[in-house]
Amino acid sequence: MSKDLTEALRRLTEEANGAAKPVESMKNRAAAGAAKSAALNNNGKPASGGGIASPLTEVSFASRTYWADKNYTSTDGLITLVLKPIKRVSLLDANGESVLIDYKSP
Amino acid sequence: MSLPVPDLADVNLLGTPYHGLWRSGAITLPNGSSKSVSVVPLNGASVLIRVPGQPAVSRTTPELAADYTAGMEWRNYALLSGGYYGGAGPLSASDSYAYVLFIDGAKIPWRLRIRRHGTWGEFLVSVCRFGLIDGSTATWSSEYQVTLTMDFWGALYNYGMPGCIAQNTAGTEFVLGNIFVNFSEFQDAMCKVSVTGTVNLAAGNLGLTITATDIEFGTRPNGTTTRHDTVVGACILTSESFYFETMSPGGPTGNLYTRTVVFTDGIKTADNGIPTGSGGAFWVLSGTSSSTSANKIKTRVITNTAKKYVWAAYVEDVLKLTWVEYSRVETYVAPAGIETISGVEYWTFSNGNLTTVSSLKSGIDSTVVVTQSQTDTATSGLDGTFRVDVAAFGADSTDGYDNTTVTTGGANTAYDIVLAGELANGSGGWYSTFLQPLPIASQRSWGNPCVVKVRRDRTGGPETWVFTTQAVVAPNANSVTTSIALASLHASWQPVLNDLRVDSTPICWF
Repeated sequence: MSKDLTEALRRLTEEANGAAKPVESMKNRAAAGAAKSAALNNNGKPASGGGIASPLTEVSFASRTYWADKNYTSTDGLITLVLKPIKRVSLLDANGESVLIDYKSP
Repeated sequence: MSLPVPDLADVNLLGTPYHGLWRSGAITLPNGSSKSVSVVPLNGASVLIRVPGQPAVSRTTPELAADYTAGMEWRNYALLSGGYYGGAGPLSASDSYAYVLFIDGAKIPWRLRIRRHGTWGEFLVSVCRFGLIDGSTATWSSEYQVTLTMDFWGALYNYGMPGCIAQNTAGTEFVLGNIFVNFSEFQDAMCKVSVTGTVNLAAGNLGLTITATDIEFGTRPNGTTTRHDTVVGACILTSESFYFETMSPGGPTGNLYTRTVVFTDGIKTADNGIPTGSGGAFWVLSGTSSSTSANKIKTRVITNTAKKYVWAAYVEDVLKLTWVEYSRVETYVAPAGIETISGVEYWTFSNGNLTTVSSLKSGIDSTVVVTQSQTDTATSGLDGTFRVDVAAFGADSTDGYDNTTVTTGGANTAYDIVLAGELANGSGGWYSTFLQPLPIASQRSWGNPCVVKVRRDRTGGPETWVFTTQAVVAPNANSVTTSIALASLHASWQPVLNDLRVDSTPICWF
């Protein structure tokens, strides 16, 4: 449906721009040979060259993964802060598509 | 356990960067600005803590400028300020324990606490991890029974609890004092404790080796008497025999001879012998005489001292003890001469001079901070036992004699010592000047390393004591003159900057 509308808009635009073109007569549907074509839905793979729809929403806090603990010591040596550096954050885009962010190990 | 990073930021620098003198609820930062501090230090004690090998903080010039603007200063050492670490704490509690901040062999910081056990000489030690931020709560370990000293345990019996007067930078050595249950004063018992090892919570001894030695306790013998005798010079006895020469027959020839015998300190040192006749002449004894002379002087110095340790502090890792000492030095100087007693001649030392110097000193380690003394002189004879027979001298009366004897004993209290060293104040009373600790925090915490130089005047018993403050002294002997009354006196010493401050309101270096 969207493709037909797009095609229609294209034609109208070309006509408006004076791109006179003989209108093809419609083919007999039955004369058209069967042909396979790729569907718009690319089997779940992200469309190449972009296509992540904003916003990205984290799946859950619990879904985060972490690298091994890293200790941060105060300058006077008395305080040790033990933190888990983030390794992967799992998100969904506005289209419900999965997006992963992988961080380097510190 | 550990804490998840709440955002994507990394930790660049971690610590307590706000330092300066705390007063009236705020710290004055290095840039002169003021930072409110919600905690109130228990006293002015600023205890230096160092983790061994902690590197200096490296900051670029722009970073230092930014730090200064922000009032920050990043240090590689810590201060326990009135029992608090920065804004955290207090690290001690008002209970039966003494608290120490201990850095173990693995450079891990722990709170270490000690309390008295029911068995003589025994104490109980436990540890709790300090400074670990990982989402968990640190708890105290099980207690480990350790032997310290019988005398310190005895000082605590029935009356007191141990408190940490001072510790070194890693808590591997510290001094415990005795605080009475119902009072806030440290008494005259101090015990030095040494701790080594790496904490192992699974071990029965927590992985630690703990030993102790007494510094001071009530019955510690602290009196010394030294007697130093010296003799110089000699006693001379000169005996003369007179002879004339004669012939028989014929009579005196006119020749005379004198035999001279000299005894020096009872030993014959000269004798020209009897004359011998020749050519028929012979010598006849006609008379004798004797004389004595002496340049011998005996000096006897009797020194009585009593010394008491009254406080302890550390300068970095060096223990500095504050003490009071009384001494009395009697110096007898007497010449030798002849005295006839019941018809017998004796050499005697008598009619000499006696000089007495009595002094009260007070100091820190080898530095004498206070001295007050008085000198009295008198003409006095020495002990009659110096008499010797004219012909016989013992070793203790001969030229070159030098002998010292030392005896110890007596358990003088600080009270006794200060009392003994008093001088007349010219107003009908007496006074003494000495060092004493500053008032102790109401909640038992680390002791303030500073001491105060006071003058105490009295006209009678302790109820008549009047104290006049003269100065506050840091453990490195740095001092500030002040007349702030003891009841209002507060002091704090920054041990790295060597900055000593006094005030009439509570202060503490952070």
